[in-house]
Amino acid sequence: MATRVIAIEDMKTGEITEAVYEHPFVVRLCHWLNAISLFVMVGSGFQIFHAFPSFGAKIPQKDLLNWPKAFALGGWLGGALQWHLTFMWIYLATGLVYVGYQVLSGNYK
Amino acid sequence: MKPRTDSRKFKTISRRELLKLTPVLALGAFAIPRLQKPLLKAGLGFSDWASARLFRSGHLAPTFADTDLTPFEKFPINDYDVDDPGVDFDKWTLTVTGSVQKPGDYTLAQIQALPKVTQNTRHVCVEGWDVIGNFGGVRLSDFLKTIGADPTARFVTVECADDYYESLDMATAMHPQSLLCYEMYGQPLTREHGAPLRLSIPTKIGYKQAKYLTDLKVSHVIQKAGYWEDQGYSEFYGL
Repeated sequence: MATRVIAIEDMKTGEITEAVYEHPFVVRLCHWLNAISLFVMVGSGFQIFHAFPSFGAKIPQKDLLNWPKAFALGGWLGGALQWHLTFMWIYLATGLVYVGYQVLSGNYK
Repeated sequence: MKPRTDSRKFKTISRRELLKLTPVLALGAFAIPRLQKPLLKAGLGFSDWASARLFRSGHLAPTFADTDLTPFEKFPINDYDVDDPGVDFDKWTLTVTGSVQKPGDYTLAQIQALPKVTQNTRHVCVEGWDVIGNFGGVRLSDFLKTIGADPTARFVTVECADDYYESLDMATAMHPQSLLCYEMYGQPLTREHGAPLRLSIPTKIGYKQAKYLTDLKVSHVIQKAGYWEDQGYSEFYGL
């Protein structure tokens, strides 16, 4: 697998160091899209979870999972579902492209 | 001071930065308030479209034994405003309009004359809870045949006595388990469960199970998808 070598210049000393991309662009792209969509799904997942009325008398919902409101995404159940169902496809697509690329390019070797 | 970086190196570095930022920039569009709403709407629209493509008419929702039923008293009553919109049963009819050969007012007796179906199916709420209920009624597909609904129409919409409204895609409306329901647990519907007639669509989410039906329309185009859908919920929401 060919790796791309780039030169990075230190702004102060002017020293040139060589850096190598360990992972091809497709892999890095999928990784970041996947990572972002995962966080979106977790955030909107919190909001969706919050809509559940109760886990019953044995486990009042307030005792189960108290996450800071700042991490919840979507504002209400409907909004959270929009985020969740949109990024679900991005998450799925990047996962499939990633696996497809690894298999077809032989990069996984 | 002369810049130390020659253009060739600068080019490499800036491209590196750009490549790194590409995915963040693409998804960053979701962070722009003006773009966020249409993007999420498109995302949900795509999700609905894909769900509709995956819908199989012959694929049945799970059915359950009588022993699995949620007791009638524990079957939740959910409304968006009132439990009982005060339907006058003596005067009640289902008003049929739209792309049908036989529009008009249909009485409960006319609807009940169609073959009766009872089934134990799961009722799933968007909030995350679900119950198993016993529902009795007539197949919506039988009723659509009775009124001579245009098979090429795309939607069946209903309006309710409490001003709730809903829509179904035609494939779901024609599904063999989709019912115009007038009985629950072998008894006529109670007022809070939607008497005299409600929808029971086991392949759909709870907010699609409209109660206290008053109007049914067959359409090629719809302006409003449903009370909750018009506030941002999924229009298809298959299970």
